[in-house]
Amino acid sequence: MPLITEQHLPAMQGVIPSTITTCSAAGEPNTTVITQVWYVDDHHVALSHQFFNKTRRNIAENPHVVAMISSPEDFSTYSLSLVYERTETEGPLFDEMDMKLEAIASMTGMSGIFKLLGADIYKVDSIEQIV
Amino acid sequence: MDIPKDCLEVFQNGFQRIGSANSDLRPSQSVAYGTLMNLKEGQITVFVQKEIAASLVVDCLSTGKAVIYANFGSHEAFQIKGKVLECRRITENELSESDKYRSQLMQPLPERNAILYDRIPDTAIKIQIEKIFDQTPGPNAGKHIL
Repeated sequence: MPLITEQHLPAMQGVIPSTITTCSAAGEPNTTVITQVWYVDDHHVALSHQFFNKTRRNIAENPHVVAMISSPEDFSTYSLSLVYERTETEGPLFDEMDMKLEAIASMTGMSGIFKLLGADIYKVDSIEQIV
Repeated sequence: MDIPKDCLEVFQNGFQRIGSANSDLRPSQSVAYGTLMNLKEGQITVFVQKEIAASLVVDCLSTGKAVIYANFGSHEAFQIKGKVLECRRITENELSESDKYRSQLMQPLPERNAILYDRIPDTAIKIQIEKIFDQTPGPNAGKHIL
């Protein structure tokens, strides 16, 4: 049974930035914004890896992530429990995300700052509609 | 506590999220409905609605660790990390602060934004601020500012 369905897709267009919370091995949470939660298939999403930061260090220590995404159509908001699987640094998904990220960067004055280093693939454990 | 003015502004008026994690290192996150800063004591109180923040409240109570992330649409963003001091019912004064915050966020698109912000928080989470980080994308991202 698919976990990600048509109703979730508007919230994965990158119109409204998403937020993710990770947790270090020592149990310290970290929350930050992410440009887009990208639909891969009905059980997987990809997050853009743009910086070597605390989020990356936490994922290396602990693969569990929670992401919050919102639809620009009606602001319905979902909480996704994710588990990190792998990073892709080339291929169709990477190229598509790279192109979209460049477009977002150019529209938001972030050219030269947003740069895709990898497409992090996560398995979706659960999706809960918050509002 | 000497918090830069731009940082205070983001925590008072920006989009806010609160995060925590349980003892199995599973993170949790919720929308926040306003904050109240006590600079003298170095504390921030965050308002949430228990119905949509159930796991987060349980995690805050069990591990005592929380983060508050806030940003403006301009990408300016900050994160506070700290120790949870208490989770309790919101007071009348705090509710009035939350009303002001939520009205301000609903103003640009009242009908659409109402789904998220026309909700009344019932829980206040008081946190002792331990660290503050600049989260604005760019050269200062991740910089420890306090």
